[in-house]
Amino acid sequence: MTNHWIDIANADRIMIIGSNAAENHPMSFKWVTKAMENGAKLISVDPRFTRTSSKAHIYAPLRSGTDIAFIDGMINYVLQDIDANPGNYNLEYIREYTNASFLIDPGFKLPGDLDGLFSGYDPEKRSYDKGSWKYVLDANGVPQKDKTLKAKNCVFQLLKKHVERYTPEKVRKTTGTPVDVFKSVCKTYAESGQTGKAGTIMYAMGTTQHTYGTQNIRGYAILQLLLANMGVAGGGINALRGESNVQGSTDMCILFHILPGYLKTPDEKDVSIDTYSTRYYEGKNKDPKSADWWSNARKYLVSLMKAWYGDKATPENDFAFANVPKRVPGKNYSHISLFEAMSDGDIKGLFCMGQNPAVAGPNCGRERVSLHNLDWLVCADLWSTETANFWHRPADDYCNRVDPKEIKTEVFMLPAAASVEKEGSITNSGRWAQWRYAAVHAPGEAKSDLWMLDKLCLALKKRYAKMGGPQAHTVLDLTWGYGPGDEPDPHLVAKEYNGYDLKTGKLLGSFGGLQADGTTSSGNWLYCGMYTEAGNMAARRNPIDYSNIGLYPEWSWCWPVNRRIIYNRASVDMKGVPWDKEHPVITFKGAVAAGKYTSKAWLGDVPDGGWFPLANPDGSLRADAKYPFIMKPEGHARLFGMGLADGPFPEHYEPIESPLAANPMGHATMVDPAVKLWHVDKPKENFIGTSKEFPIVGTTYRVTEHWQAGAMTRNLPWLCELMPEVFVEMSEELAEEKGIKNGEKITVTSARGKMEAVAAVTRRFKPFQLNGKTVHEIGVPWHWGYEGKSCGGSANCLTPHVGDANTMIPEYKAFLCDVKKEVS
Amino acid sequence: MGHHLNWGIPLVIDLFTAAMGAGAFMLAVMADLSGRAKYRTTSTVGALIAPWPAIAGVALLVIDLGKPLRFWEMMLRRGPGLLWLKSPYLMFNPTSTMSIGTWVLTIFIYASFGYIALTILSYFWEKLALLRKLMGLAGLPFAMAVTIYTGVLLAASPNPLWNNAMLPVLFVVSALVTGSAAVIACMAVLRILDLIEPAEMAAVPRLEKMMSVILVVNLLVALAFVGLGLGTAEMRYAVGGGLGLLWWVGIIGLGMVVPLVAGLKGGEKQPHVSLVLAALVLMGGLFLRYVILVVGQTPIA
Amino acid sequence: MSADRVTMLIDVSKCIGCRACQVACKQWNQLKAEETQFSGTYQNPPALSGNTWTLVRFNEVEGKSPNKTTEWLFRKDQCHHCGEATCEQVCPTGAIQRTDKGVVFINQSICAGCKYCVETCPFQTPHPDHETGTARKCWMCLDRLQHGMEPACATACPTDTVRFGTRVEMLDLARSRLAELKKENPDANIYGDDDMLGGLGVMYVLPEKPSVYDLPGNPQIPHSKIYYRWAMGIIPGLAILGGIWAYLTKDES
Repeated sequence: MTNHWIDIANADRIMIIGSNAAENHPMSFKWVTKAMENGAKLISVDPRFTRTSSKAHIYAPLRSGTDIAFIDGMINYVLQDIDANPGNYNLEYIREYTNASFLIDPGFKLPGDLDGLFSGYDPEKRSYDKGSWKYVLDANGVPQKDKTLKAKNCVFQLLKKHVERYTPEKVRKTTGTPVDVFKSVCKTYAESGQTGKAGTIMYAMGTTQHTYGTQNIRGYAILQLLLANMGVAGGGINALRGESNVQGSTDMCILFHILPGYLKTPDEKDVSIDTYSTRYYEGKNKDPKSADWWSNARKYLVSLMKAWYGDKATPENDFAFANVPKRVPGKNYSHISLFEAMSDGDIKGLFCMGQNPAVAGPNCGRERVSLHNLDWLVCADLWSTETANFWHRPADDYCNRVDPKEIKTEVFMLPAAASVEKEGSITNSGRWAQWRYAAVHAPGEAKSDLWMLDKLCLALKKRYAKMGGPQAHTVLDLTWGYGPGDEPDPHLVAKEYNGYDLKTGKLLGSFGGLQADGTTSSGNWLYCGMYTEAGNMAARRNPIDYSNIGLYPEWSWCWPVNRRIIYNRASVDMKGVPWDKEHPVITFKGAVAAGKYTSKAWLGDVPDGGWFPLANPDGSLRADAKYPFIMKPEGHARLFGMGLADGPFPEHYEPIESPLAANPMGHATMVDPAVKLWHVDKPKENFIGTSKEFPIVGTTYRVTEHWQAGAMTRNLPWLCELMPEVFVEMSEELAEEKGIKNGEKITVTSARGKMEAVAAVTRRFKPFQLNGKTVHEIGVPWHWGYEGKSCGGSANCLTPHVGDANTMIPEYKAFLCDVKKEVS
Repeated sequence: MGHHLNWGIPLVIDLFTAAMGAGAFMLAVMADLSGRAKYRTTSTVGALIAPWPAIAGVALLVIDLGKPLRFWEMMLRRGPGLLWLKSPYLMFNPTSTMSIGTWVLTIFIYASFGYIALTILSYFWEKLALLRKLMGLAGLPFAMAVTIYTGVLLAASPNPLWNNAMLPVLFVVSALVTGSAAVIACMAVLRILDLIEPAEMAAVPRLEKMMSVILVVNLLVALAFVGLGLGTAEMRYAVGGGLGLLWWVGIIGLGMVVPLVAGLKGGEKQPHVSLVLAALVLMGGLFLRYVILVVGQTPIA
Repeated sequence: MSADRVTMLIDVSKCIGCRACQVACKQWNQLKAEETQFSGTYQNPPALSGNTWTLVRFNEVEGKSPNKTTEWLFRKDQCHHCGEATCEQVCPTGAIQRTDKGVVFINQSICAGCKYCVETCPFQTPHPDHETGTARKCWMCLDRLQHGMEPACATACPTDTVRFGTRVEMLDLARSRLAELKKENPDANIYGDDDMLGGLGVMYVLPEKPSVYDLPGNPQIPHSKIYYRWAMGIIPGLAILGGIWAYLTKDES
């Protein structure tokens, strides 16, 4: 989240899209409810009327996979309304804080002109040459701007041109949202564009789990920037994370493409820290007013190397950078890729720690079969999961014979401690790292993940020390030692990733102190400041709020440097005066002399950089100021986002499995042009279905009562009592067509498999009237598997093995299927 | 019925037997108070059979409790703070018809035994006749209460079938009719077994005529009961559809109309015939309580 | 009614149907989970029972505007701790009592399981538990109240749908919430105010009429008609008895 949970109570407009917050984040509704008590309006955008929709003022139905059409339609409304009623919007914000005024290379072309593609597409490689997706630079290398926002090739006009195709009628043809409801949503949400009003967007997997999920989020970013909702109280783009500590996991960057603190993982071309830094981080910005904070990356990388390799990382050996494994350029190592490689026999061993791909993985029937190729599998979990028992699972539609005698995988089941049985920190969606203590001992031999990894590393070190080998030093060089006890001390781990001043041996207070010369260490620069000489900041529990917007600055610690609302320099005007006087996030209170600021003083939240504001009280610009969006090289928020693989603006594409014959936008590009299509040369294994055999749109989701792949909840009687069986929700119209009654057993099939469930016939799903066609949609909660007290079919037997163009997150949320009554 | 019943067959039987016993007692006392020698046998038989069905009913009530051994909690009250000690205070909740019923049943049974004792003793000492009649009179209100209280008890429920205003009077009339039928049936059996003289059967035709008149009242009240409740789905379910057969043929037809017509025709009948007609009345009374109790608890979707 | 009578106020307009209350009740009172089936609604178990003392009821109805063509209504159901409690009135063993704070509870060491309360409650709340043989229902977590805590359900609710306090506090809250709701919901009402059954110890603020939530519109205690029902039995009974006596006495033969 750019903001945080409690901040939601400050919103005037709340749009919950791609999320069912009341369902899956019920505690968040405490804050939504408070906001509504203060007059906030809630909009729920969802293919299905959910528990969230029940509390909303406006419910807008939309077909799964059409969020971009919806959001681009909203952006279109806002841009037109900015022309008609400019007084209702914060034009200074748009002009000064975003790249709306920046000029783009004249060679850049929009999908409206190129049949659905942006300029630079290579159909062979399925990727873009982004040569034309760049700013026009002036003589000093600083992007040229047109502050009137009128130039034909300025971002603002390009955006306008791009979204004007998304009329309410076109939106309806694509999404199925009735025009009057859509206009209601636009009008209501756009009211948050007024200075002093804030709108927040709460989203989750409904947004991300698409082949263009990243572009969905880009749409929100553009909308929120046009409405001046970034950096303010009650605003922001707020991802509701799906696990209590997934934010912590992603911050520690155990995904393949990032190092702790979101540094990029180096590939084979990054032969030195120098190459690496200049390639990704340095020299990208020539504007002195842009902080370009990522240009400090070298300091963070070197400090990381010192944390990992200690004395073995020296200036002479380039801080042991050669020890860090390098990716093959362009290769993807995420979940889908892993299982494709496993399927091809390239992966011999797998650790599944708190992960259950046999239920949670896309095309899980195939992923289960992929596991057969492993030599060994280690599962660490609270329960014996479906994955741990894949070798004697019931036969399913994908694999109709499972014989343990034919599976040579050696499977280890390590009992794991639950979160309340161990000490450590949990970072919530709002980036707040909250230290937790163990409430009870773990039962039997269950151990914390920390213990398991500690023992594993120590064992590996021992083996490498004995057996040697060409890469042995990469493990032997690792500093390792988290206390004398059997259980590693999480405080020592926390201190390590906080970081030390190696000259004095003292803990550092913030990442501002990190150096590139090897005199500092930090396992995660973002967390520098969490555990300082003053103590464990994450363990603080001061319930006093010194603001009136729910910041609670001394309750736990958040990154970065305890800044609760990031990009908060955008919450003030160029002179440092808050846009919203009643809910200020930060306020500049420096001394003034002769109309100019003479000293720096910011009140409120930790400012996103303590520099002077951009202008003095007398209106003169300051040379020593910095633009508010400090993480971008140009210091401005990107309406035009050239960093993504599939386009600088979101364009509507259909999901890989679409119920329609053509893209309703009327161009030839049906699916996201940068999505990796697996096994294109092996159509049999491609398993992509067509709307002829599978005419119904399918989606998957969660319920309040169960959690993820179900191991933790389908073993608890009280939760099984609430939700005893897997069910499929469908409209009354579809049920009538198929002769299905509420509560009857049915079968759902897709190109990849089938599952059985109980039908839930409901008015909360309605057929979508699209571009001349009625399209039905059904939804399945995906929590069930073949283990536990409550067993049932896995919805992921239906989902496709294809992922987002940028992140490879699987397209769980929109695919094709069919249903029929189960004939027993 | 697939639905699990809170108050099931044991209670159906109890409703029937307690009413029958109390009804028989009331007939016995009326016969006694008439002073006619013709009705001596009637009164004696009625007195002798009265308590047993009521005791059986009470036994079924106790067995049907969720915790049968705690039946005494309805009679003896725990004093405040003395949960481990049975206080000497009696438990009576005047707002609870069940509490009232517990006591009237108990007192009725005792009174009934007193009446039996005096009935037998007054065979040997005629002087006790007055005391016997007084005993009967004393037991009379409790017998009447036994026949009414179940109708009132059910009326406390929000259930439309039980909430019916005709229910208490239906149960009272049915009690009198089944009580009379029980007495007639016993006399018929005694005659068939040649344990009483034919002369002692002289009362039966008039008793049957009397029972017929009460059956007419019973029929009218039953129809009023149906009529009053026809607006509810529960009543329509009870007298229509599959159950309708039981209601109209079993309860109304065989249980009321047939014996009522036969009884009104008058004249001496063979004891076997009297027995059969009385049995039909008894069967009708049992089925009546079955329908009311069981259907009353079946949820109509 | 005592001035510090406790009251629970359930503002169903805030309920998100999450059922934290249901699980909290089960957990605090250590109630067994029932074996259930998915029958087409999220509501489970389907009804209150000896082991389920609170239940969130789900109801899908037509919406009132183009901006919301469906409504999904949630209502937490449990014992209402009536000011004039039918169950207390009909209990023959004295097991059902009201505390001086207004909590109606069934003393599990006295209840004989006659099920009269089960059959007569206007809200069909108490249910027999087949293991204990007694009737059981919500007891407002009396043990928690005795230690200055709120009932488990009130503590667990994330949206402050379930509020708990003195009657005066809750009535105040209900009235101000009603004023808010009335702006967009003309049928909004407080269910369980002092004119209903002596005031319900568990009240609702409802955006719609009670019938929309399957609540009885005008629940009554049985006492109101008991006397007249006795009369309906005694008068005809005595009349027939008199008729029998006359018939037998006047027999000429």
